[in-house]
Amino acid sequence: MTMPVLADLLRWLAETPPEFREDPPLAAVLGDLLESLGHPDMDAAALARGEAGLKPRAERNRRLWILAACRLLWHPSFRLSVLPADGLRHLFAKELPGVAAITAADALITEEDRREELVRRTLRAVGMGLAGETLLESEDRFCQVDSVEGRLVARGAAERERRAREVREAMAREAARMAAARYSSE
Amino acid sequence: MPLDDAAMFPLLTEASRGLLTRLREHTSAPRWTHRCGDRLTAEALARVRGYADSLKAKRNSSPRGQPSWVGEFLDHCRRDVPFYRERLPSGESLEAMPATLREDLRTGYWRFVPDTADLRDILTYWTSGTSGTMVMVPSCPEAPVKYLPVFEAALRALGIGMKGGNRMSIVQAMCQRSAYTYPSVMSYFDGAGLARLNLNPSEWRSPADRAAFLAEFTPELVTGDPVGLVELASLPLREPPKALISSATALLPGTRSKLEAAFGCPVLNLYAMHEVGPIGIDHGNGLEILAPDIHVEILAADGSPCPPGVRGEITITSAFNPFLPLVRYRTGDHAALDLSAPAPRLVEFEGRAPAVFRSASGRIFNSIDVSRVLSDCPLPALSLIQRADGSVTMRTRCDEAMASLVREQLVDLFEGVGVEVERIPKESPWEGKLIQYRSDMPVTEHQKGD
Repeated sequence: MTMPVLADLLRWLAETPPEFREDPPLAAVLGDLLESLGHPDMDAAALARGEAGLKPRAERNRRLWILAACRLLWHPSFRLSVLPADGLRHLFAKELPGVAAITAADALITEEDRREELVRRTLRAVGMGLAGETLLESEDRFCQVDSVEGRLVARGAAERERRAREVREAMAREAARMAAARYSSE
Repeated sequence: MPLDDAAMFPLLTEASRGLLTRLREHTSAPRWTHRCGDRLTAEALARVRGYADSLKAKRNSSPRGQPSWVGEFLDHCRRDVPFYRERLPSGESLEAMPATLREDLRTGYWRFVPDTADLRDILTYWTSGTSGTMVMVPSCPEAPVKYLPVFEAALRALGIGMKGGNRMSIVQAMCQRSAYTYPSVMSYFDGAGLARLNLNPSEWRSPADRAAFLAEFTPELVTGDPVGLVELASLPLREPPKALISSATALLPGTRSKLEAAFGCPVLNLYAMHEVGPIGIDHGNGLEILAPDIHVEILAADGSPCPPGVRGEITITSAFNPFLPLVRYRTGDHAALDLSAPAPRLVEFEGRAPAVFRSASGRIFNSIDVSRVLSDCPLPALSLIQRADGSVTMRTRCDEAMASLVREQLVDLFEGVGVEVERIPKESPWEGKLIQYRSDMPVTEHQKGD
């Protein structure tokens, strides 16, 4: 499978047409996207609705993050294989609302790291990698642009964040070694 | 930084060092591609031995009520595991807990490692599962070694004991284009040898070395996937193993019979997942659930429990791997529970939701029906696709006579739909999962039931 190039996806996001940022009806945009991705049965309306209880401004921010991801997923790189429905559902229902809860969607216009975070979250959700990167390199770079984990530090959860980083680093070291025997095939 | 022997084998003895050297340097040995040890300390070995004792004493209780360990396990998860900390409601009833999905693990694997886990012991495995997307799995040295007492328990029920000691005990047989291969020794079996072998002749200095190596290092037990085990059956072995354990994919009954005839020993089928552990072992009568720290529920699509005998998604609560505690992990595999024997068993097992096919007359059936029809055919691997126009293509590895039989059975099942059977020669590596079903036929929602 041909893997997408990070610079192409970042440029694609930077060139997002203004109407994507004007909060168009999300259910219709999602519906079109999911149908074009071969998932017409996915419940676009429910994904667009999200969980109840958000204040209007937070709700708008959630929609804008999802719209940005919709724009990204229209890139031709995502048409080369069938993207997993579970991964897409997780992206729209969990990942992006989680980011939107702490990061303004405006940052997608002003900060390249946020655009890269969106690219990497989306690729992880659908199980794709980037051209020229190993899985471990992708993980490492994702740690650097992961604003949700980064925000934990800002909120005083530094201890937990440090532990999370230590676990990820230790697992990356061990993944490179693969030095523990297995006793059956799985 | 590669590990040295002292780090890979903390309990290496003089005898096991000698065996390890012989395995590494034997003139008939394959071109080893990797180095692996059991990483087991004396404390971890003691814990595994304690686990082996519990396997002798207890039977798995799924789902005859919630096991006694679950309450404490849920407390541990809430207290020490970041992923569960704010996710699990209070209380001890497992049924009130939300499900854990593979996506949760894939996108946040590090959050499953308890804060109490010593990261000097952490191991990383990769698994691709049925979806094909890679997931990093945190583990620790005792988790993979705990498979060994589970194997022993399954073999013990057949009157088979493992000796271990200064000999080869386990060979893991595969036949792939390329694979990690290594020799190792196992402190759990008192320093006995383990070899992970790729039987693809190109991985050896000479094809004849495969039989010569196995004659020199005759294993007590062979594990592997069906393709590797069928390849092993084609080699002249000096002495058959005591048993075979097939895993990684479904073992069709015909393949099992062929292997049992070839080796003259029992062939067991293991259903295991890297992220969960060994879930069930089958000796022809359903997957018996053995591990006492794995609790199985069968859930319907709406999350409600299925009564015994009704198929649903296999959902696991597992303390098997201390570095990856799982609460109601939905496996994506489907089966029904059978409680008619002393130990619970999974029957009507099929990985993933079954693919749905349609015959020429419009009759709807699924991949389980295809498996049943082909159950007497010794096929180590198969890929069956029904295209949107109804035509069927089957790829498999067998001789021409078997291909004709398979074609006949499928034409009968699909009631005259065009069926093409493509034989993949032994020399060509098998691509993808060993058992694959796919249907591109449009099927309405109400027809998708099991």
